[in-house]
Amino acid sequence: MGYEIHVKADRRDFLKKSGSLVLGAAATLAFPNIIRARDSRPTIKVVGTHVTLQEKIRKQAEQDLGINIEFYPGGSAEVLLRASADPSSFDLYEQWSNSINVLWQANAIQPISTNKLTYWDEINDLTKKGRISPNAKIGLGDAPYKLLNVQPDGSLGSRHTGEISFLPYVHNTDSYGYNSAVIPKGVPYETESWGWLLDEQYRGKVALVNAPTIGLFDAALAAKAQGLMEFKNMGNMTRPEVDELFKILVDFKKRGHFRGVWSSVPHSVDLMKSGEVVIQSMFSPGVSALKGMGIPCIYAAPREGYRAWHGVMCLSSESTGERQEAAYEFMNWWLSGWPGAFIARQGYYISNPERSRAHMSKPEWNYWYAGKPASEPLRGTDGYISVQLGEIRTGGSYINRFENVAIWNTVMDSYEYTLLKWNEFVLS
Amino acid sequence: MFGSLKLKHKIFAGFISVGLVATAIAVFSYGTFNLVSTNFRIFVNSSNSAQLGLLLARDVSEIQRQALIYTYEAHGSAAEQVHELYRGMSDTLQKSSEHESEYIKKIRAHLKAYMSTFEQLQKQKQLQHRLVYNDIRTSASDAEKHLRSYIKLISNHEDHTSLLQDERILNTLLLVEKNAMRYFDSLDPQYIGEAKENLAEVRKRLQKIEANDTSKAAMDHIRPAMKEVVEYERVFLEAVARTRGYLFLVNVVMAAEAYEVLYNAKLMSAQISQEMGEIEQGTFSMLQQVIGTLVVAIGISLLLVVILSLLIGRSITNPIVSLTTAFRALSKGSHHAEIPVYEADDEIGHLTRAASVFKEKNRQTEQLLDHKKQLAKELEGNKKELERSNDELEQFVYTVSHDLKSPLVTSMGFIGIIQKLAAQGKLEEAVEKLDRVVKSNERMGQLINDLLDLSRVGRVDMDKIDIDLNELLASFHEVHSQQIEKAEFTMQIEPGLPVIYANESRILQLFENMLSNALKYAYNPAGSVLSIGSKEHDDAYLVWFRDNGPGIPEEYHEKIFGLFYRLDPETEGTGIGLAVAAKVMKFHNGKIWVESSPGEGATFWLSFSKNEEDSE
Amino acid sequence: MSEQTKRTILLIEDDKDHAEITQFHITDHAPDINVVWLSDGEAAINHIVKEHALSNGAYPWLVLLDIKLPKYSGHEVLARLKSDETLKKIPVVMFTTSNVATDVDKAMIRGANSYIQKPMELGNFGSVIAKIIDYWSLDQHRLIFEKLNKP
Repeated sequence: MGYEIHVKADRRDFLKKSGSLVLGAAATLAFPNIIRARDSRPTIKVVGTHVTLQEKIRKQAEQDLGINIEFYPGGSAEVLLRASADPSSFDLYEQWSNSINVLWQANAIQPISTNKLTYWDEINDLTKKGRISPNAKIGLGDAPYKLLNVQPDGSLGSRHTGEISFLPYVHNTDSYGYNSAVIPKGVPYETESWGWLLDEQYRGKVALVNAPTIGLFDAALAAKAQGLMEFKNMGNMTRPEVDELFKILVDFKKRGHFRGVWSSVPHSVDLMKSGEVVIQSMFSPGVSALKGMGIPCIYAAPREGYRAWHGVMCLSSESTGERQEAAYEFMNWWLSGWPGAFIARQGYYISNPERSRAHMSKPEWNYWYAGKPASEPLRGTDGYISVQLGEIRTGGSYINRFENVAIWNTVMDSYEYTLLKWNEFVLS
Repeated sequence: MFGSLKLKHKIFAGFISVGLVATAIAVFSYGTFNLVSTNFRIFVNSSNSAQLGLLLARDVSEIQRQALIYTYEAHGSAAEQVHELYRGMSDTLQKSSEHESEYIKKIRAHLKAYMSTFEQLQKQKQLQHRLVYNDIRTSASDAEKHLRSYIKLISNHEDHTSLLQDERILNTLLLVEKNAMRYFDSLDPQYIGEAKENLAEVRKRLQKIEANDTSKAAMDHIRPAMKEVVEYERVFLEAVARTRGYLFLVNVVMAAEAYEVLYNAKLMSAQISQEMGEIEQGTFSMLQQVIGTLVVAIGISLLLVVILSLLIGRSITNPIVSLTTAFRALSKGSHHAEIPVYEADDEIGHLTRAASVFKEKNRQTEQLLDHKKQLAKELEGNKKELERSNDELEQFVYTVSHDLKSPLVTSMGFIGIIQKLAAQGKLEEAVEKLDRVVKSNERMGQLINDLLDLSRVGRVDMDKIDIDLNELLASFHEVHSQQIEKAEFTMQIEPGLPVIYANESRILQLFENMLSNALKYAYNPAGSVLSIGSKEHDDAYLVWFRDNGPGIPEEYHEKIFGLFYRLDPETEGTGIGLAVAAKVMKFHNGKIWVESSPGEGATFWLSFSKNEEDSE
Repeated sequence: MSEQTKRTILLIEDDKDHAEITQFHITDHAPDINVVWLSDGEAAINHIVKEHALSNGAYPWLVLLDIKLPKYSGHEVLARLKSDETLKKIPVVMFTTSNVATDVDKAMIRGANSYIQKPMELGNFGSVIAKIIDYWSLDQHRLIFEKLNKP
């Protein structure tokens, strides 16, 4: 989930702030003064998005670890820029795997030693080997395992070296959501297809997430599913491919196919809620929110496979000493079970699920991980019921979903070029 | 409801009703025109807003264009343009803040986000610019300076190969800059990699020198050069990060915000156009409806005015017409004039009461007139009575002179005949005629006696007493029984006769005359009957004398009561009897008349007033 | 004077004595004159109308008419006679005791041919009757009379 924007666990809060924007008001380069300088306990600064920088998590961690933790949540572009430009401004950086290349290239982060990670051995094969199961597709683009290990030449690769560029933790599969009140319900993995995004039937009521590293792949998957073009490697498109894809997209846009792009989860919710959009790229919390409002939004399980994202927790190249130790403690805490269970209730997965299982009820585990019908209504982290009795998670179980990854959110070599093209697309 | 109102109030009520209706129409019209003007204002506002939408759409495209120019060309003027356009758009939005539509709100928010992103972009851009055109160069030249110093130092005692090696480092270092600049120009990340590789090579070579050369020159220059190269890389990477950052900002974040502004502006224009169309349509149909309603309302109000006028007019004129009729009748002196009922205490009410007063006056006048007429009638009666008395007197004188002369003519006539006969020697015949002279003279004496009797009536023995006619007539019958028998009459007296207040001798004279009259004229060969009876009338006792004689033709019914009038010249009598009877009755304030027809007998009625005693 | 036409005096008189005296003097003066005596007005009118109607009698030569009569007075009889186109040619001499102006005026207005008061002076009765007969025996009256009685 490369360009996640302002996703908050607390749905009420999150809805209240609907309309908050990508970069928001805190879009200043210089970090604000530290809000709390408590005691002599070590203090770590965490920069990241709202997906993981949640107050409940922060408090729990402070309580569990006895350290001071400061969260600096922001839009993904903002935090990426901040982190890559000024490594001294943070100890830990929580973002998406597609930002790793940028950060790594910028020398903003330092390798993390697997020896210091208590639960390293429990981390599943998705990040270690690239496949959650032997049957699984690897998925195109920057699959996290390709970026995980720090190679002797300083590059990032899949070979294990004992040093990793990020701590594997939160991840999920994304797809598009559609309003089943308008669009007939499809069959997961069979009829549901990325191609729907470019289906002429929904002209004018389609939106993409406003991020070339994410939305572009939704569009590419759709174009491919519609048979409009082929990619040599969708995960790293050539300039001509980028040109061709954007030609198709601009063509669609000019014909009024797209309502536009959305820049935040609340924005995506508004679009579908208002009826402006019936099908669009979506993030899990947006789907939950719409369902909570009574809009029958279905989070599709496209037969082409999901677009997956993987959260990364990186250690600042400037973090040393006591702060570095504290940062390791925080990383280990993240895999200690409670946080995994916490974010599971928001629909996210953790890289060592079994440890979180103990912190979840059986119905919770069955629903969130096992892909089974909810045997009782399940509450979200906000305390409200977010899953009705009998409901089944679209796409099936954790394994099932991650066996069907078509592509990972990726910063391609043509990243800068896609940015220029993206502007053209958005404003065409 | 009108009837009980005062005239003034009726008119006022009428005016107020009409006024109220007119006011209602006016208010309705005002409301309508208000609505129309409101619609017009909305229309104008909408038009402005639609205009605003188009302006915003135009400006937002322009602002993004300028932002891109700034981003890629780093023209300060383009940034200024962006700010200028933003201010302009903000002002435009500010102006339209009166009716804050959802679109305006969204546009404002997106525009604000756009601008804050742009400000961020500017900072990034400035930083990047400093990094690229200052820091990178500084690092590059510092590193180069150290390297060159080192080369200069070692060139004195080093072999050419190592020198060549060192020169190659310098070249690689230059390649770094070249590649870096290529990246910033082309934005092709490939050059980042190449630059990084170059830097890595430089670093590697420098490390190698550092490892092999422990001289002071190396110490003094290679280490700082190394440091500069590290800094060089850091600065370069930061510049790359910042470049990517602002590229993201302008192409993704700002583009999206700009698009949202554009989209909402277009939508606003479209919606406003539609609304304007609706308002136009609505206003038009409302106006039509209103005109219809107004026509109906005015029609109703006119009808109301007419009805009210009629009602008021009628409620005023009806009483007035009735009153006029009444007054016209009253002015003619009528007291039967119908005065309309009118309760209200207004002018007409006063007139109505005045009419009643007139009516009462008229009634009194009428009474006075009646009284006067009564008096005049009485006077006339008295006058006639007097005239009749005179006529009677004249008649009396005439009759007396004629009838008294008649025997004289007879006497003289016979005497003349006697003389003639005597002269002719017809003595026997003459003597015969002497008896006729005697008889004539006797008749003259009789006439004179009768006249005396008549003249006595009302002058002599006028005392009146109550007379029981039963007794009186019984003795009268007895006294005259011989006479009646002789005339072959039967006299029947019915019982139950009244007691009358009268002069007894005159009444007896009357009865005698009635009897002799009957005996003279009412002989019936089949048996003459004279019956006497009475009946009681309202204020009089009626005594009748009925015979079964030949009857009297109607033409003589009055004449027979005249003096010296005789129906039959052959019968005896002077013709005074019934005249005396009439005079006696008159003396008693009574009347005498006859009912008869030929062959049916005759009935003489004597009417005695019951109140005779009182009138005395 | 034509022999064919016998003169008749119609004497209308209620007083038997007066009638006898009058007849006596008429006969005494002109024995040819036939006297018809009627004692009341009704009888007189009936007589004239009847005589004429039957055509077997002649119109009277002269009518001597008293005023004071039973039933119809002399005035009424006069009016009746003078209202008939034929009968009005018969001379009517009012012969009465009355000499009051009203009686005279009334009689003259109604067309009486003469008004003579019965004489009350001794010896005058005969001469008055003679004068009446003589007067109405004059030629002009005779012509009228004869013409009247022509068949």
